[in-house]
Amino acid sequence: MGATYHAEDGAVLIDYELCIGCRYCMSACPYGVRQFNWEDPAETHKRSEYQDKYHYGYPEEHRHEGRLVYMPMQPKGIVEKCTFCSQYRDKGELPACVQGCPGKARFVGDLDDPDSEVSKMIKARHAFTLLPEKGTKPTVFYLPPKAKEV
Amino acid sequence: MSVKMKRSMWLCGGVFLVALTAWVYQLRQGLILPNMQNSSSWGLYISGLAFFVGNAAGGLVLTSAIYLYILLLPDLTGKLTRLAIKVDNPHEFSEKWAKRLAPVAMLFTIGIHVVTAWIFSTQGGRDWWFSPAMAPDFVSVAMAVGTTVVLLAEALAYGTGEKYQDAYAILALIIFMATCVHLFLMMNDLVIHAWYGNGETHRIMEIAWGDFAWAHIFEVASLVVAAVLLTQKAVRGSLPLPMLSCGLFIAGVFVHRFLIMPAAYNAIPLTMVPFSLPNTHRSLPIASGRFFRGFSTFVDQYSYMPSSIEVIILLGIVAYALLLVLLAIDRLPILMKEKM
Repeated sequence: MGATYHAEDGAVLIDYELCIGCRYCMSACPYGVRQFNWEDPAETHKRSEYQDKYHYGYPEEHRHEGRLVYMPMQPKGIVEKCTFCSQYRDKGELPACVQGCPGKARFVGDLDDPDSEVSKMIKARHAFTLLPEKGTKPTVFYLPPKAKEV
Repeated sequence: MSVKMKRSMWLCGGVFLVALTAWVYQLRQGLILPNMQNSSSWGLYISGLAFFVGNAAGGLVLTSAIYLYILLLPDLTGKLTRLAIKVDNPHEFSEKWAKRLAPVAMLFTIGIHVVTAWIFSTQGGRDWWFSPAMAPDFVSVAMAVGTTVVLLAEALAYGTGEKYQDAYAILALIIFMATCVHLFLMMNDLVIHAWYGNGETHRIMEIAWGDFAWAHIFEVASLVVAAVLLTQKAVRGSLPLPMLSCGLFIAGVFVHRFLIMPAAYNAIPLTMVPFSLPNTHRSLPIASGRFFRGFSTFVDQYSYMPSSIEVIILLGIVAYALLLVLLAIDRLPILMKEKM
């Protein structure tokens, strides 16, 4: 269907308007990061007994490169995954997990730029990726602990 | 229409309507009703898809191969005559078109089932499926079970009289040979999986041979027993024994198709070896996608079993197919009239 696509900035995103919910991509994903909306999220929200009028997450729909990649309440029957907070990055802000990490352990940047902070860290600290043997060429890197941290 | 036929049709129609209602309910509520979740995102429905495609493909390959196309449209009567093709010599017409259609149909049906296998075997994320042997194995199983369905249908329609025994012997031989090829490919695959020997593969083999050992024994034993029984003339001579053997064989293939799921899904695919410590594999939990108060949303293993609604909907598909066959037998001139 072409619902999953590589955005220009390298993020793998899902176009909610094209996803038919076949879950083929979930079977193919070796990382298990894709999530299916098995029921109407509004129903789950009701059962979770949040306080009245409380809603988590970014409150508006967001289109990236013209494609619908974020909704506050995704319809049932579609797959979603981490968007690296496309809605924030498109405004020049950092993803929520980077902003909120108490240990300041998360970074986001341009891997194509050898002088970017993330490129330098990857080079200097022998960063590794998960399941490189699967050939997915991931752009999420993990930094091993420094000697004093082990 | 006989009373037996009428009751069978009502039963099939009833089951189909119950399943249709269940499906509409599922359509409204979402796939929260089946027992699938994020870590086990395919289940009985996809097993059923592979099973039914296999049955259809195998049956069509068989009928294509031996020119069993009998274009009976010229024999239609009553209101159905509008569909009939007027030809002077129906037999010659059938023979001519069968020869033209059969090779195309055979390639097409084998191709469809190969693609069905590729849906699974091209997924590098699932070690249980990632095998070049899967497509030929799918075709061999299809040949076996499709032929079994044809044999069962013929035995039901025509009985097991002496004049059909030669044909049944050929069908039984095809079933036996295809079963041997299937078992060879399956065992070959299992040996390679067992030999590979990393942590993920060990977990797969634990699920396949630990949690589902009896199902695996059944999928092999049922096929071997049924295929051998069908090659016996004494068995083919009675009516109940070939039907029981065919039923056993089809059940074994269905279990085989279901078993494509657990070893692929019941273990969470991503494991890590922290700091490269030897013999330390950690399964990384993922979100199940289901919310139950008091239970963690994250799981590192999940044992999928179909819910009742999945079983009902699958039975409805079987009932619908049977209803169509019964209708065709009753309304279309499919069965050759026996000369008394």
